[in-house]
Amino acid sequence: MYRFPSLPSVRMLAGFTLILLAGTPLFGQVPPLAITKEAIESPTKAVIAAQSSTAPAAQALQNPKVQAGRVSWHPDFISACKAARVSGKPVLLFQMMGKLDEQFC
Amino acid sequence: MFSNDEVAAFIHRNFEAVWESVRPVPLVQIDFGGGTKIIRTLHGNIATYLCNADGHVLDVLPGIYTPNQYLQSLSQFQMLAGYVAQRSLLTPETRLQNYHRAQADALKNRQAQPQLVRSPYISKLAIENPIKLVLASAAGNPFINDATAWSAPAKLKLDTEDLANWKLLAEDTKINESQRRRQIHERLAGKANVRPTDLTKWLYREVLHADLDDPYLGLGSVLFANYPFKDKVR
Repeated sequence: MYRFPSLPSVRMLAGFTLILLAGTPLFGQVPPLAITKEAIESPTKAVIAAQSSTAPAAQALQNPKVQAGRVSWHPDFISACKAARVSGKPVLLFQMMGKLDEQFC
Repeated sequence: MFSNDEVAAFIHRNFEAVWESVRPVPLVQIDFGGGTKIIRTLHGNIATYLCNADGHVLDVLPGIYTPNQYLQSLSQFQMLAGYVAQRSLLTPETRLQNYHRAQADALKNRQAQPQLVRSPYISKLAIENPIKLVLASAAGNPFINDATAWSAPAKLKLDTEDLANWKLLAEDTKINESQRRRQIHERLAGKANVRPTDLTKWLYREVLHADLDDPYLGLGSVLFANYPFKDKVR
């Protein structure tokens, strides 16, 4: 004589079924246990990057400040002309590319 | 040059000094790898203007000079300022233009250049006009003809590389005092009451050959000739 499964067994079987159904790709969901191409490649990429030489980032040229010689300079041409009116001395304007108070000028 | 004690002291005694930058100087860095790098400036150039208190240009020294020649030129500059301001039947502007005309003609004709000297005489006239413009001696322009003027002072004890650099500097000074100064004298002989801003672009383009309006300062043809990636860089 056939005996129907007991209610607890039916419940257990239903639960397993539900778990399996939750794992299947419904409406675009990724299975939690699926292994993607990126997941496989990322560790390899990290190893290669760590062991390869890389070009250093470009750095701006350093041009340190220095004393502009031993001359006492006025801050601008107008100030020098004002001082010249008082002292009677002529103005000496030194014009250049770069800056006199930088190492490379 | 301005770290030279003699030059700095002379400037301090006789001028109201100011410096200004016309543009950033091109910098070249060569990275040899392994931490070895060198940095150099490229095609930089300078000019020294003598101006009166009104801001008008009296004269200009183009380019770089040996300290000795620079001092001699500054001494003439100091006397020029006094010479132009002296009492005269001529206006200061006319005296200045006549001075530059005389200098330009002497350089053009390869003659002795007039030099400014202080009068040795004590007289009312000499007191009022102590500075005279006189012809130089038959030996000619010491800047051009005197070989010893170009030698590095013995006290410097230069090594081979420094001596080579000194010779380059001396050569540059010669060119400054002949070709470049002639262009400046001719320009100032033709115009009065010129301000530095009126001269700067012309000076750098025509005299110093570094066109300030050219982003490559005239070096484009050298930098990009036969360079396979020039279209990507420009």
